[in-house]
Amino acid sequence: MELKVPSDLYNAWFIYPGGSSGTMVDYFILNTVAENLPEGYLIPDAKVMSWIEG
Amino acid sequence: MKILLVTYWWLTSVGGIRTYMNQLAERLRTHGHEVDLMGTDLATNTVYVAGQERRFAKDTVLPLIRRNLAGAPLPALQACPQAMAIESDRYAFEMGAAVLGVNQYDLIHAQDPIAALCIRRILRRNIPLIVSFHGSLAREGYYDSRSVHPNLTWAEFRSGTYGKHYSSLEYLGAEAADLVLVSSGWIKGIIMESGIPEHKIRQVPYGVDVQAFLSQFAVEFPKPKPPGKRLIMYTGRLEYVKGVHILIEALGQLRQARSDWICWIIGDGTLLPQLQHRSMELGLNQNVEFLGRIDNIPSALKKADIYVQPSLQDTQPFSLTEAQLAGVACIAANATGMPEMIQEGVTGRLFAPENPESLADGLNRLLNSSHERRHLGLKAKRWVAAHRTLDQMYQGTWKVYQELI
Repeated sequence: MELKVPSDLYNAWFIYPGGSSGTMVDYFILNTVAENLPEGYLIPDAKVMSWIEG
Repeated sequence: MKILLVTYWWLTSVGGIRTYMNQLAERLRTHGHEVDLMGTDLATNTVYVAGQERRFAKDTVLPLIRRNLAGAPLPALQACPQAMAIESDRYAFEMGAAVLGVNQYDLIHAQDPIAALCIRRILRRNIPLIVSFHGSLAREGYYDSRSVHPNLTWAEFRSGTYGKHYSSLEYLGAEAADLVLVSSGWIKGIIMESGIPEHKIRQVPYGVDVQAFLSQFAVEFPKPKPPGKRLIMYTGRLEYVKGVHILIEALGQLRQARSDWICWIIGDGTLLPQLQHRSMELGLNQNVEFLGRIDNIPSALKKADIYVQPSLQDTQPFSLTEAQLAGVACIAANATGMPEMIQEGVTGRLFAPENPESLADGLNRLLNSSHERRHLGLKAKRWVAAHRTLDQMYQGTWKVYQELI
């Protein structure tokens, strides 16, 4: 597996990217996750946030 | 067909939902289908498929998810620990489910709205998705809050972030599915009230494996019933929503009127210490015993004279159905899905919900008449055996599956 770097990887999932410095991350696991999530997958779920945040 | 039964919650817990999943899976397999059960292992916080080795540890992604949510412009979410915890955890569940794989199935049957919403977000192709509502998530959250804040109203809960969050998951989970499966008219009404159209909802009552029940029922329960005493029984989780604290209060009142009874409370849960303490305070040491969890509930039910279902909310409790099948006279709270299970005065009795006086009166009345107890028990047993079999549940559920395949 070609391991991607954060900006190509999980930062693409987050609507509000915040980086990961100081947080333990396993790049192999995250790359595996990235390979299996659908295109356009985003966190947080905008529909749920619209209920909570108004 | 390859079918996935999936829950966001703990697959490792005992209880009604796991029983439902196991029984449905077993029936589907005997009809030649391949069935996987997916959920979370509470002990290790891993997402897994029962019987398979692969597991996804949510803790490998949770720190990153939490950090991201904590740093985002989401003040209401951040101010609510319950919502933050569930939001973080369900994204970890989504990642785990995606890695374990969900796209190889012909049909996915989510067992709760959070699972339905999670699965819809990670699917890479169009797979029929059904969601079962075994209860109301928002109302369970409400009762969870009420166990700490007893005066909290439903309106107050819904206007807070915890309430909004759970309500959103409930509605969006139903919206995400192609069909919604419920067991009671009560829960159907709740879902329609939230805005889901009636044509999307299917009602199939739960069923009991009557043969398996009768085999267990035939076994002698080792604990003897004290001579000369009528046995009142409750079986189930000891959580606030199950209302066992109402039963204890009612028994405290009953004891002032008569002492020709004892009560066995069978089950475990977070409320056990509180219930034991209150039982002691009310002087019920000689009358109430907490037996913990047991393996063979049908055999214990054989000794019962009266069964109580005091839940604040329950869709269609298996425990009540089993007590009826055992021919025990049942009394249940007149709330949510329980009145659909009892024809008053024919197959059981109902009491005013959360009202210990009403329950104490009902118990007193049943204790007074062995004839009434026998009559109610027999009618209930016949009704359950005719209308609530596992085969009927399977046939009804399969018919719903067929609408989508």
